[in-house]
Amino acid sequence: MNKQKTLAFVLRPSFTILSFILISIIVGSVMSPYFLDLWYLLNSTTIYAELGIIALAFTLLMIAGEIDLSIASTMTLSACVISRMYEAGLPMGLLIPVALIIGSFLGAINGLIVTKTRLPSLIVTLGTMSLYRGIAQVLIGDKSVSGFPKWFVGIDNKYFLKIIPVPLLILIVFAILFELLLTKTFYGRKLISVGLNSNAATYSLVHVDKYKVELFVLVGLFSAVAGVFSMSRLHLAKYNIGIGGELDVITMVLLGGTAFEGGRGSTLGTAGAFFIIVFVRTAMMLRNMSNHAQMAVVGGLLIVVLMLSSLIESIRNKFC
Amino acid sequence: MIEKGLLKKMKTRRESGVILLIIIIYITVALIEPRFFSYNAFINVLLFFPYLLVVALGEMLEIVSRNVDISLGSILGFSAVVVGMTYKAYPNLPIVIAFLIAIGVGTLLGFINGVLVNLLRLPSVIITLGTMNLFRGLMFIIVGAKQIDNSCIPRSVVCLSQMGKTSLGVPTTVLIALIITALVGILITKTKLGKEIYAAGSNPEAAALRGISLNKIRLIVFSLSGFLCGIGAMIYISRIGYINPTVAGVGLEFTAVAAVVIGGTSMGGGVGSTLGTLLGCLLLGIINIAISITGISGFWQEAIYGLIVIIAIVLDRFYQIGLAREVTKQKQQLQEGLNE
Repeated sequence: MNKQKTLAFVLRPSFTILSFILISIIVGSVMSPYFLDLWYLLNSTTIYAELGIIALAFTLLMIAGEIDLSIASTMTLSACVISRMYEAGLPMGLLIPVALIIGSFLGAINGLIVTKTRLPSLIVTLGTMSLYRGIAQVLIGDKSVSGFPKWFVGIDNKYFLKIIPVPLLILIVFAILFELLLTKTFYGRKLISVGLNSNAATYSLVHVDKYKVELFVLVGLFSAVAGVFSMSRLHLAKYNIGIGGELDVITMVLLGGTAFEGGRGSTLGTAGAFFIIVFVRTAMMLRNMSNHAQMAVVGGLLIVVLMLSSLIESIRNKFC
Repeated sequence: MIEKGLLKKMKTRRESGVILLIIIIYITVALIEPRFFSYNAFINVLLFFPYLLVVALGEMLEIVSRNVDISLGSILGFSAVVVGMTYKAYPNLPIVIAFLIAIGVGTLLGFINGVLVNLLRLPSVIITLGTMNLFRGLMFIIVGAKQIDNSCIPRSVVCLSQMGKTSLGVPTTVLIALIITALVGILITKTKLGKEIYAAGSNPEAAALRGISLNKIRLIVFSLSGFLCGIGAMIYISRIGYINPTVAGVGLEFTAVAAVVIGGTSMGGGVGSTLGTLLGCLLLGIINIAISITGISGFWQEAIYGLIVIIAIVLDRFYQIGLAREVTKQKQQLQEGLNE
């Protein structure tokens, strides 16, 4: 009996994530003596915070049983549209809300196609992924747009309480807010029911399609926020920013204990997984590993994570 | 009467839409730019698609069996890099052995995908998203992030995609691609395995009850598409003449999915034909050449491809819904007839 309890505790997602964080810190400090520097680690979170912010909204979408592969393209396209408008002479302060509207609109297109045609969202967003990036390419070609105003650039160098970078703060705040939304509100419970069994949810008068479109809009909105952040961090906009980011985002969400088929998940878990990815990538960067080797490691990590979660699932089904 | 029958048959075939689209685009572009109507432009279209066609056929097999593989571009790149490195070490390697190496590497990587999908029981898109990056990263590591120059690629390989080397007047690579298309066509329409692939895609539960091993089908399909990527890699080397790990096969999987979907293969599985895929590749080839010949910026290409894919899948969906309505209507009529 007691043994079973321990097993159930060990198999809980929060426990596995915490142990993964510990392992990644240990591996990182073994790999490089410069790794264990709090200031440096906090600063390196800013590079990936954009993707982490998308991953939070993505978690909610995946809990509702859908997926969006066009996130990185939405991020790029909203950044490219406003940088093009900025070139045309519009003030940046006005353009930030414009970017958010564009991102939501692109998300709404995904959501409407998915709910109206009942096609799998994987397939639809595989198409919009190349469409959105293609439009971004049409808009600004292969050159980069820069020369943004001084107040706009360098969000990664702004700190809260002189230590926590602003993007990281936003990430943590939203992780907590979404977690509260999921666990404490009626909306969150309904959302989980959509992912668990959308037919049952429909019969219990949950507007499944409305929920799904709203979540796609949310993911689009957060992708646009990430786009604005990346412009501010890089001081430029280009058609290939964030390319391949969907791999990191999906790895974070799945590593965070969200079930691929929906119905289970936590944004705090995703935030924890964000730190794992940051630690792993930072350690690799400190060891001077090339970008492509990092890509292989993250790709391999995704597969290992999937294997582990299916293993844990089968153990849980057997013993608990 | 026969003509009417043919027309009716044309209407029910999904490929006819693509043929119509090809004709419309061909005529429009030829009217804007008469050069498009020339033999040279046609050959350019033909040269564009051999390796895309071979990869798209693999993708079609996967989609028919209800899987999607987005690691095909990386598999192609991986095989190409391995062949290039072998050529660098042994410049006098016979071309047959090069083909065997490419095919071997491709099949192995495809097999790995299949094993992982069987093991993890998750959608193949997510798993191949992982292996896509894994394979490309490994490829960079083994090649040391350096390009394999054209001096390493023997003349005999490059000659395969040049004109005037065969009696038929088309490059050998085009012939290879067409022969493979025919073979895949025979495989999926005439053999038991082909029928099983369709059955597994159109209704997995029923197929399993009929004694078809879904795991076996998945392994075969993933290995086969890896095999085809290996052949694609040889055609790629022959066409491009050098292997740059940053570009070899990047984004190819999306173009392949586009070609397959345009060719009338349903993303829901169980529907698709080699002729449709061939036409899909032809359409993309024509658009590609049309973009460059009419002087539209090349940046439009990805956007146009993406748009066409979305239109194609949405149209196909409406077609399916219409078909389902037709069936229920016929059932109702039958029921009414019986009642009377």
